[in-house]
Amino acid sequence: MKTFGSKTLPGMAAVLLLVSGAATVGPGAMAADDAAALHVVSVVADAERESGRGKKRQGPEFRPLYAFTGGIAFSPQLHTDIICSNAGRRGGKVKVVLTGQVQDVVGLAPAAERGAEGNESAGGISVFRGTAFVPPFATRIFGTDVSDFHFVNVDLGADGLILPLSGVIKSNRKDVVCTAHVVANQVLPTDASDLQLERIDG
Amino acid sequence: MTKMTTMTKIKGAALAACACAAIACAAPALAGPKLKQIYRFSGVAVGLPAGDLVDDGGFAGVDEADAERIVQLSCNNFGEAGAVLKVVFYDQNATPYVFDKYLEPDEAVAITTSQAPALPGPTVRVFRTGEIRAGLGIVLSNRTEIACSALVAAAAAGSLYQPRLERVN
Repeated sequence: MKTFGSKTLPGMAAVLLLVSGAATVGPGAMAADDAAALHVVSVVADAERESGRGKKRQGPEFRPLYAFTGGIAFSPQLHTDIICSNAGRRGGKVKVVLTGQVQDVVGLAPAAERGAEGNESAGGISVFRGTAFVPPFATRIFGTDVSDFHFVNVDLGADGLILPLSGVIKSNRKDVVCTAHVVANQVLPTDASDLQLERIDG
Repeated sequence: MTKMTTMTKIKGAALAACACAAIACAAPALAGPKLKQIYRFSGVAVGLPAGDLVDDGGFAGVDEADAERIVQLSCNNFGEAGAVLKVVFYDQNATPYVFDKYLEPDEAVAITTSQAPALPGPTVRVFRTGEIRAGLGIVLSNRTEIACSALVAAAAAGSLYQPRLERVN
């Protein structure tokens, strides 16, 4: 990132909104400032990489549309659904990137801090990605887990206990609108809760 | 392969044209007011939860009527002039369901999707749709002084979640 050109501005906006959550999802060994810096680098780098610099462009580039934090994946009890619709007259792609920390179920604490053994993924920062093409006026659901009770188009593969879960929703179309919530894997999910999505593309 | 791709494109274009027509072509039937999008939101869900267990008798012990999800959309006209309101719900495959209503000044309406008997009440309008596993909602009007909110609920659970309504204009 050599300049603050228009291509990097959406990424910077995403960073500003992610900073508060970044401190909580950053690696335990890092200071809060370092964790924020980590997100600055990764989000901006993502935006630059996806802008197509140095490779052939294929339609509009991906831009961050929403950021959120507070989700949870707790298979098989809870999962997070991100529902995105395309309100425009041209089809578009939606990409969901979730970042979360794998927890040790026993103490609800990062397993690395508890010295847990035998679970290589526990305690680490994991990234889960999924992409779907959304035709005009159609809708797709991205879920952290394929539930027996709820319909999911794209399984993001976040099983186990992953908490907190923050995410960025990107698309190559501005007409994409999304809603997200945490829902129990029950026929009657009485403890569903909304996630606050921050629109970051202006 | 090429033929298949072409057919897919033609099918997609036809579906898009149909979906667009739900917005663009229905307007003349309302005596010609020019309608603009004022809200759009994702997360519309109507009918039973559609997971694997639905086909395997997963509702054993649960009354399906209690699990039925509905969407309630409430809109109020805060303006001093009457407003034409058009609500279009799309299912996951972009099949549209259109609801029209004329709102007097200071009039509110609660539009409820339901396959159950109509809920009583002078301002509640039952909006019958097919099953929507996950859908899009668009609110159009010829006036901008309209405010709306939406809720997805099930009889036994009450409120499930509130879709995020995005103001367009």
